[in-house]
Amino acid sequence: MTEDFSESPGLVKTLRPYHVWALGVGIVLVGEFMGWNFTVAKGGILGSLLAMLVAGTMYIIISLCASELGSATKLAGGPYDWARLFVGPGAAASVGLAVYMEYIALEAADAIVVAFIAQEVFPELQVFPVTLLVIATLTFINYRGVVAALTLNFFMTAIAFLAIILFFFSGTFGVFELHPENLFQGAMPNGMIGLFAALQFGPWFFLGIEGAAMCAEECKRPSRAVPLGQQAGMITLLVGAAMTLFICANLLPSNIPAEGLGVSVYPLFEAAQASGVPVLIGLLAIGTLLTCVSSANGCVCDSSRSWFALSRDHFVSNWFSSVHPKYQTPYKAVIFTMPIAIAFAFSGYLDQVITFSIVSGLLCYVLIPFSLIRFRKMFPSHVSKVRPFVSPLQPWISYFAILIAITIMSTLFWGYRYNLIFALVFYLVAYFYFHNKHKKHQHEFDWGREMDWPNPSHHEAKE
Amino acid sequence: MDGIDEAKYNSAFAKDTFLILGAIALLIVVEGYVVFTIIAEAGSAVPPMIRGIYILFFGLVVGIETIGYLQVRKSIKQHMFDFKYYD
Repeated sequence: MTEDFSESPGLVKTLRPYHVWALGVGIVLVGEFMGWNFTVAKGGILGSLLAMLVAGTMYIIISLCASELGSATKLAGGPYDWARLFVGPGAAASVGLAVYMEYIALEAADAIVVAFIAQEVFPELQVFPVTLLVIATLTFINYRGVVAALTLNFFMTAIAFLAIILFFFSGTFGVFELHPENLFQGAMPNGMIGLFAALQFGPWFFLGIEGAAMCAEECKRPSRAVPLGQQAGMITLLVGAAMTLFICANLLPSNIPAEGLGVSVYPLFEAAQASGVPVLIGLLAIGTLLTCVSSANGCVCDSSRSWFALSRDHFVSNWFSSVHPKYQTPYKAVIFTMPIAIAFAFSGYLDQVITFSIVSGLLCYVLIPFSLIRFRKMFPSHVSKVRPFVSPLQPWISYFAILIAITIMSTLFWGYRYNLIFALVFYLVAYFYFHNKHKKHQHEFDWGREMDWPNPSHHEAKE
Repeated sequence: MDGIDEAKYNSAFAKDTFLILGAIALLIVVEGYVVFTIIAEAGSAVPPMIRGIYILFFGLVVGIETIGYLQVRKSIKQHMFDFKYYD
């Protein structure tokens, strides 16, 4: 028995666990450098800590579900393919679209921030052409090959993460002075309601880690690479989030919600400035830039795979499902990320774009654990061929993750109610559209031929 | 095992185990230090029951991730020869 598919046509199968880590952490680590601090504006330091722990619990469960589903199915569509196999076509296409939108909106936001940073360094530059250049360059890198794209991500992400580690340990070992009084003064400026409201920005710490499993089809040994790389990524993010919150909360005041840490654009960089250590200031500046680029890079990879999977199953034009004969990338789907990202980038509403990305992500966080629950019901026995990695404490933790995702989604009603309603209506319309479209291409699913699996338990019950 | 270098496999598996245990240790130390320092400094702003929620979620984060990552190690150990993980 072997998992080596390198002779089969299709996507190249060369990725290793560190590529999986680089894809997952590369997309998400930007959230430690900016954005997470809106939790502080809503709920103070204690609100931010609660948001980090609650969102962290949800993402650990989601990433365990994704590791099990990704290493079992070994397909590029990730949440789309899991919902297609274990839930149904309408839900699958909606979640596929949600993944596509989640990552492409994030890519657009990252590219804009890179352009703003470039403009701060070189004031003569204009945001519009730099954003365009970033999107075009990353699209080209992903067009040329997934290994090069993710190896680049690995180095950029590793440098940025090392910057956070160095900053944290410099603070705790007394290289610069910490101000623990800031922790108490900014503990809870908006009272108990603020603690709850802060949850809506909790996903910033971890948004997109589930996408690490989307390179399963391109891994050399997916049943080792996906769980090992993805869980290493999850721990990296948990550690990075805790270090970031601690060091920023110590160095930047947050007692007035409209000032300081809660409204900082680049909190880690500004905290480094407050430390007064030039090496750390330089490192965190580089880290901020690199995480934006690596996040956008990973987003091109994941959004194109989701579109490729939708296309392969005729939910969108089959034209996008071509694989490049030389680079073995879904090149048409990769190129198609560019006009959509540009459209998002030039809509002019950065916060709206990011909120749409979060709502899309939260929809996935309901459907990923639900897919796992269905998977376990359809294939209850732990046969290695079907389920090489078995995530623990299931299905109870999946139900818990769904509960947390719905709770966080409900908190978006404060401040982003129209975004929430728009997104839910958008995905409801998508559900019915794709459900009807699927009827044209409906065929009996052959588990043995398409997945090399035995029939699911409900088939056996019918027989 | 046909054509499999068992010594190489055991050595590679030991590296994976080292990575897994190291990551878990880092998680427990850093997360524990940060959560308990913040609660010690700022926890008096909230009632004891709310402080219990922090402890509960800290336990969930560390507990589920530790069990999950150890399960990854168990899965690798179980399948490394069948799926030729280290060739």
